[in-house]
Amino acid sequence: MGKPQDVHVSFDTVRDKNLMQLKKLNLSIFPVTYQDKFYTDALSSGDFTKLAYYADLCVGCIACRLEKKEGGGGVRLYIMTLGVLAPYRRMGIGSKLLKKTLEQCEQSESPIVEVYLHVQTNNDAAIEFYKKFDFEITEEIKNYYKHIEPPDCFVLSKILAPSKLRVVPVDLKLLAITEELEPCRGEEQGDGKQRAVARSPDDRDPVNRVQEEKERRAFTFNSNIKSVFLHSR
Amino acid sequence: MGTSLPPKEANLFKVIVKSYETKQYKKGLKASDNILKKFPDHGETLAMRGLTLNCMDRKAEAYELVRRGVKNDLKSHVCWHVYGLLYRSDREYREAIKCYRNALRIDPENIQILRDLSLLQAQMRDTAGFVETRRQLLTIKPSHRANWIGFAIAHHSNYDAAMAVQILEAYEGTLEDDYPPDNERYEHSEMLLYKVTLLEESGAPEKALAELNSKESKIVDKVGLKELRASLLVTLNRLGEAEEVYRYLLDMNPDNYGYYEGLQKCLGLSLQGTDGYSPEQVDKLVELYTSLQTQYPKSSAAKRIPLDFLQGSQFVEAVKTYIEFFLSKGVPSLFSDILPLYDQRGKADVLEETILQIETTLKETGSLPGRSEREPPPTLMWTLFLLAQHYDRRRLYQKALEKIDEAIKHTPTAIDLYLVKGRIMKHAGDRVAAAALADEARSMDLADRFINSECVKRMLQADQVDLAEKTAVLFTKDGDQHNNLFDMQCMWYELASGDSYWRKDMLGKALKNYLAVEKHYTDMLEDQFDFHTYCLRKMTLRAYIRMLKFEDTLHSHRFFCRAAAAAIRCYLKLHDTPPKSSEREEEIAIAGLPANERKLIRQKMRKAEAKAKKAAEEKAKEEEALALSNAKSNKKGSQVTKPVDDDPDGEKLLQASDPLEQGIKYCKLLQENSPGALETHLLAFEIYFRKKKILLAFRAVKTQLKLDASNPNVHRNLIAFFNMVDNLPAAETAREKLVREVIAVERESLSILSNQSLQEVNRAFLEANKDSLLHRAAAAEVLALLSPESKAEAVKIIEDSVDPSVAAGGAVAAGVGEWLLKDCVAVHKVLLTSLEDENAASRWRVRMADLFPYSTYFVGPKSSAVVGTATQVPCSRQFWHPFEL
Repeated sequence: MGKPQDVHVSFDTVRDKNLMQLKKLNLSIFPVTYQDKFYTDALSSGDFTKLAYYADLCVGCIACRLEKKEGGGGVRLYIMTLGVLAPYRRMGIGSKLLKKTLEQCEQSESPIVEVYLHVQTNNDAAIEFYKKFDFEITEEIKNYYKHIEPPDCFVLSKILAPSKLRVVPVDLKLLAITEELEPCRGEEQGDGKQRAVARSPDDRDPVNRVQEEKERRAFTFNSNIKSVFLHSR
Repeated sequence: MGTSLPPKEANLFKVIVKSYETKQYKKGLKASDNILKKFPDHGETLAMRGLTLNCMDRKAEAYELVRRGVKNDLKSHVCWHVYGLLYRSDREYREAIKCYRNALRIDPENIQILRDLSLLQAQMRDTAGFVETRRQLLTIKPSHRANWIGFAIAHHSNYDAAMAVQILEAYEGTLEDDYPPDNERYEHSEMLLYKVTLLEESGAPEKALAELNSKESKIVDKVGLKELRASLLVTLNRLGEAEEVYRYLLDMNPDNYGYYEGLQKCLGLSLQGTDGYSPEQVDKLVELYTSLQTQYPKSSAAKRIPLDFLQGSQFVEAVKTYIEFFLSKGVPSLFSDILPLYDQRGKADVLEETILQIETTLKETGSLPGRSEREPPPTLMWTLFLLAQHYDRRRLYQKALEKIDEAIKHTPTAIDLYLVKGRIMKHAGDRVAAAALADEARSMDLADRFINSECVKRMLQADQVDLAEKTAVLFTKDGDQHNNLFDMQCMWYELASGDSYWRKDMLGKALKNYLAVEKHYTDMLEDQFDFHTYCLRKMTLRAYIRMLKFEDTLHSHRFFCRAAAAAIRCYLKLHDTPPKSSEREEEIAIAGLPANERKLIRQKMRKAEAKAKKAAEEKAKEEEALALSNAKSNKKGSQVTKPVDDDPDGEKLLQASDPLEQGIKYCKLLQENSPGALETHLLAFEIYFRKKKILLAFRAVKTQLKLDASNPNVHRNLIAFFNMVDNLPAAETAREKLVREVIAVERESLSILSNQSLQEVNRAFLEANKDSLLHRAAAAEVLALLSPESKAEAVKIIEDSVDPSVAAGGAVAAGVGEWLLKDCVAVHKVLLTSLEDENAASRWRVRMADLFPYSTYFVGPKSSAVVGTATQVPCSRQFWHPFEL
């Protein structure tokens, strides 16, 4: 087994034709049986739910749900599960999945302002893992889990820097930045069209946004939530 | 043409012909109307009108008109030609040939008719007639290339390759030196290669080689040229030169097994007889392949072939390297690659040891034996996968299942694992579980046609026909799956579904499926028709000859044999237990009622019938209207709407007046095309035995004895036959007496009977084969037949059978019982239906359930019949639900 960087991993979106692969992975990795709602959410997240293939075998997945932020202001991405089959861990496949997803958030058409998830408080490996990607613990929820010890969880969140563009108030620099972003966009959309950077009406100062976000989270929290494990053995 | 008509009508006649050729049928009809108004009896017009109508799907009218045309103008070659075309369109080739001959009698040099005739003769393999027709065509038009080639082909098909060569040479003589022009180089090259093969076939390999060498620059198929040269050199025993050519070919494609075989031949290392290679040969082979492996490090063939001849420690070493390489690479088909090795004594044990060692080392160190670098995780999974298949082949199903489950736990997303687990379950006798597993595999990739098909097959094997149909339809085009699968000539489906209906005793549907397969073969035979012209035009002569040879042996293909044999079995069953017709059933049902009620019921039934008929008519009308509108919307009109199947359940097939006669039809095809298969003659016996055709039945028994005298079925037939002869009423007619005499003489000459009584023969047979289950069952059956009062003894013969253990060293693991599940099922059926002892049968079932714990048939304790199919959850773990959703 080589270093993580040596491993070649390819990705595939989850569709109704290969949904069963995701189910098999979940069944094997997580001690939870997920209901249909999980899979409809995963399917409707489009590109954000992905399977990772190693040597033509499906070995890992990230399943996400897109959530509308109340009062407009973009979309939040909730990571429902992220996991890799036990024999294929410590190879960097999970990192690749998360990295790919974060990249995608930046290129997303509708601006994704935040990525967040729940993790059991004693799952140090998982917390370490997410911190590597600049996730921060924003909150601790007591008695979140019913059947496992400890029953508490952290909320890990990463506020996505609104693209550099947004902090630039003047249109003068627009051209230069569009050029800078172009390769990524071309890759994703494939049509090479120059697109004026979309700006939602309530684009505001990012500092404010983060503040707002934190306030909002305090009460939207109890909606449908799932645990996220990154097992490490 | 149209000579007897005045100019205006003669022109109109030309219009008809033109319209026919350009498919403007309506225009042609109109023109024919105009002629017939003035000359209602004009033969050629009538015939052409008929031909036009034939193309518009009005067959009955067409035949009537053409016949009237011929009658009115017997001296017209047009009329006869048209008549021939009409027959040809209905595939009545013999009739068509007759018509063409009549036409040629009137107009002997008509090229069109001659050409049409030659096609029919090629199709019907009337080789002498074919040569003659081709000769005439060449004489009339020697400037035409196709006529020369056609004449040569005709001679070739008439088994005169030398003559064919002469003709091709004469044709070459007519060519300019700078022939061929650039745009015809391929055609010319094919002609030359064809000529070389002809020379070889006519027994002149030197000439063939010389020709090949002198024409090398004009041959464009360079690979074909080299291959042909190599094989000619081998024939001529110029092995050194041949070796050079084979090495050149290997350089181009180091994975072609044929080249390796050729090279071995050149070095005197080819396999002679069945004894295998001599030790000296093996030494040389080792040397050869070691050097080839260094020369072509990427070639799999160079690595795989030595496994076939290596023995002992050399084999151990080679097979280890081979398996490790492909396991590490992750090649799912590895097992089927090494499967043939199991047939060589001792190699299965080596394989087991090797794979087990890989498994343990991987688990302990994460590396392959003797290496330090860590293997990627899938290697262990593929090793377990291979091990499971290995145990499956050794009939150690329990272990196989353990290993495959371990693999599934390791990587639950690998689809191949589920397919193989399904296969193991099938071998172990649990078809229901096999189908469930295949369906699980299918659900993991809904876009994979292969997995879908495998799943359909497993479902059919588990007799889940409806489910199978629904699954199959996911991958058929128009949603109307039966037609689509039929059009695609999807024979595995038809065979599997026929088998399933057979098991369910739905003979109509079973027959329908089997006969569909038979129909495909008839179609394939028909399909060659177009190639008689096409191949001559395109000059793909070598392929054409190959195709003709293939078509000649078409009906010996195993799918056809299976379908025909199964159809015959259906007809036999129909004969033995004829279906009750529905009318008679009703009669019986109402027979007990008083007269007035009977009358009432009959009236009601009649009314219902009339109503149903009316509804059916209306539906047909609707369909017709729909078809019409479809045809209109589809302006080209090329898509003919398919005729509706009026017998989707095969009910009409069940009503066949003489099922045995139907069976004979297929039996004859088997006898002609698969005379070497024992089953052919077993079936022939069953039919003729029932038909009381004594001599034919005896002929079948005699052939069986010749093919396999020790086969239990043959023994059963032999005794049953003479038992029948012994119990015949005294012969009355002279013919009957003659038959008896013949049989008596033949009986004397049969050494296997050696003038003993049938009982004695049976006892001797039992004594000679007392260790074999199937032989014992046959002897028991025969005993019960000869003396029905000794049934108890017969049952005892079967029940006293002991399952011997397999000896070490073979493909099957040592210690496993020798008995096969399917044989034990057959014995169960003998006990149940032939010896009619239900108690014994159920004792047998219990005993077999122990022997085959996974068998659903015997309700084994581990089969899905007992434990259900829900046990296949790959990882059993405790589930917990942290929160409600």
